[in-house]
Amino acid sequence: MQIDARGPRFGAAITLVVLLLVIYFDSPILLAIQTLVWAIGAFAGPHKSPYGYIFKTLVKPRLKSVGELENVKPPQFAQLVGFIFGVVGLVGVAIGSPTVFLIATAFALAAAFLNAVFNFCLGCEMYLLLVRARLIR
Amino acid sequence: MNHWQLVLSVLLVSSAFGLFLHFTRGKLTKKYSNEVSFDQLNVGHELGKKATILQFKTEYCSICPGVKRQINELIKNDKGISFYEIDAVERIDLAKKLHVKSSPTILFFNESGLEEGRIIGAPKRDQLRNTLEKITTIKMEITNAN
Repeated sequence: MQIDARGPRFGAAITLVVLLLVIYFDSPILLAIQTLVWAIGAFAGPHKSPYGYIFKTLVKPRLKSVGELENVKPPQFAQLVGFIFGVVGLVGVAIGSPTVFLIATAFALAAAFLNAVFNFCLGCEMYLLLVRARLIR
Repeated sequence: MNHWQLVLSVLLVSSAFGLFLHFTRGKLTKKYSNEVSFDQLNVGHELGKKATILQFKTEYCSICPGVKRQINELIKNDKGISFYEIDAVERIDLAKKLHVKSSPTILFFNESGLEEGRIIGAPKRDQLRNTLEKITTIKMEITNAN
């Protein structure tokens, strides 16, 4: 399946703002909401997540240029990585470790920043390394 | 460390990493070694008469299809250059042997089957053209799509 390549980047920009708020307000609830968004993006597809929906209904109709299409799998992989960071952060809250919460959120913030600002392709850089390290198939 | 210091540190490190990738990806880098020739790699394809391009991709690489199109467009009038795309996960043995760590990684082999260099990431059109010209030493007739 192909989606507008600008959608995931737009989603990353919103995620960046949300994660800044998570850290500023020290808010596990906001992180839980963001983790839910990642879960939808990772398991149903980024185009079905709330940010994808906002892009499709509010942003894309206002864009004059036609965006390039990309396979849905790479941004879906990035959503999955975000979801894992989110779960780790929430586990940190559950076990009473603010350090785990902050570190996991900081990693997710870094990934969202790289995606939003540099159009960083997480799947290009990480997937093969994880396969080579036998951490995933 | 307070929260703002943490945010600032994350953004600074991420910016440095992003800039590093921006300035290093898509450029021709030196070959890894001349120890293994194309014929010894068991790629499953034949060596091109003038040059051979191997592109390693993964299914989670968003820029790989675009790079493949770019290369196909560039070499379409030159039958002496062979281009093959390989899934790095399916041929993880080959990826390891050739020190491929990210996708896309594009390897250039000369007519003797020795690696002349590689480009990691999405190459610029001029970079691709110059590399192929250097390897084949024949001025290619390229239809400039731009």
